[in-house]
Amino acid sequence: MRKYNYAIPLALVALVLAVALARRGGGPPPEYRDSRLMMDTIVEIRIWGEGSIGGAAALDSAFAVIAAVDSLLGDGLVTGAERDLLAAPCVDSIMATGRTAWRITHGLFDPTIGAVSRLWEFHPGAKPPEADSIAAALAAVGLGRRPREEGRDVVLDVGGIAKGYALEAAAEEIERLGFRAAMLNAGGDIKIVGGKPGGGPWRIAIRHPRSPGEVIGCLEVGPCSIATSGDYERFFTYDGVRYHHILDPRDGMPAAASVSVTVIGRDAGLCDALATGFFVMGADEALAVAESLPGIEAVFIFGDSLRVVTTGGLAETFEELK
Amino acid sequence: MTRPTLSDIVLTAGLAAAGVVLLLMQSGGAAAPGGVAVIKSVNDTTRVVSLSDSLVLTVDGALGETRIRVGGGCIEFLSSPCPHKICVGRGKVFRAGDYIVCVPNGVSARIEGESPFDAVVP
Repeated sequence: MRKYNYAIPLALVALVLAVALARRGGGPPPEYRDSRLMMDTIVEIRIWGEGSIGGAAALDSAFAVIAAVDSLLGDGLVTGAERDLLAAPCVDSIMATGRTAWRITHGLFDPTIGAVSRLWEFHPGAKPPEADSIAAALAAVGLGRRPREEGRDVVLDVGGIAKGYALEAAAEEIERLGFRAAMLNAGGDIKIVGGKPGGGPWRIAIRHPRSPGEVIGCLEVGPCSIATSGDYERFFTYDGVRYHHILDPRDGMPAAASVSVTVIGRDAGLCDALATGFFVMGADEALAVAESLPGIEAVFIFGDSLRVVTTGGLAETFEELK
Repeated sequence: MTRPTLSDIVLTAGLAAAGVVLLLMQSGGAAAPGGVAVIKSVNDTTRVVSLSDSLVLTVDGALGETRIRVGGGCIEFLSSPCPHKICVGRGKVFRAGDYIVCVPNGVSARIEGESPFDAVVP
């Protein structure tokens, strides 16, 4: 009696098993993801791989870190005596970043602009504040020239740096828990930890300033922080004039020098502050400043024609898509 | 060559099924669902709707109702009880990873699906 020939079915089974086992060994690690409304925006955290606790628990832990910063700083406008503010948790560290950005941008990022910021509202139907009100508020603005009087109230506008600070703290927590890859996104402020699961660079697109839903370029990056300041996120039009939310600390009015600035660097808070300061400064001067800073790269979009220029370090890693 | 016995068939089918199950298990955790909007509210409700549907959703939030139109591969906020209407001003979004959020009312809608980008910055 001839025996049944197992060769063909066994070969097929072996093939399926081999493919399955190969994918098990070389495929991307498991991803855990959640998003929550915090810090006046939507915060999304994605982590990959395995750590000392489960992925869902790690997400909860990272969100708890951000919630702690959120509860202290809220919308980022904090008012009080300078001495009291600097003694508050987080604020001293955030202001240290603010002072660094203030120096780099020659005072065009100024965290003491809060007194002016709170005069403005940016929504359909809004009106610009009266010129007298802005002038009066400007008297309290100026990190360098404001006298350090004890008991004097100041209004700090540290919303952007606070988001970056929270992302840095949450990223530290994720790494402490043993996870090696993560992407944290707080309304466009991004913190990337580790290499991209599956290999290759992280691909980060920059939204088109004038065509919602479209993108104008793409960055390919490794672990870093990315922040963008644009004139198109919060704005209103009054008497045919467009007013956006990035204010020039010299006159308290929306800065007109740029359309969008994206900064790439190590610290998320500093990137956010520099994006604001560079926006006010304008591409010509800011490009030179950015080129002089080790570890900082930037993409500038300006003018009616939406001209795009980048620092030299992005020559090979930024692709314009318009 | 003789015909396979019932045991031969069971053994072969079992091994093949095990391989297929392994393959399916591995693909389950990585990929995002395609062409859907995930709509969340501050009151912990989450709804997932296909972007190929055509409908208007009413979502309860912290201040009241947010009305969201889903259709034609896009989402947009039609109305929300927030003071500044920034969410309504976002217009339509259609790219995977993009989102609209009404912070005062605690409602967000995010498009999930395959994307050539890991993130989009504003």
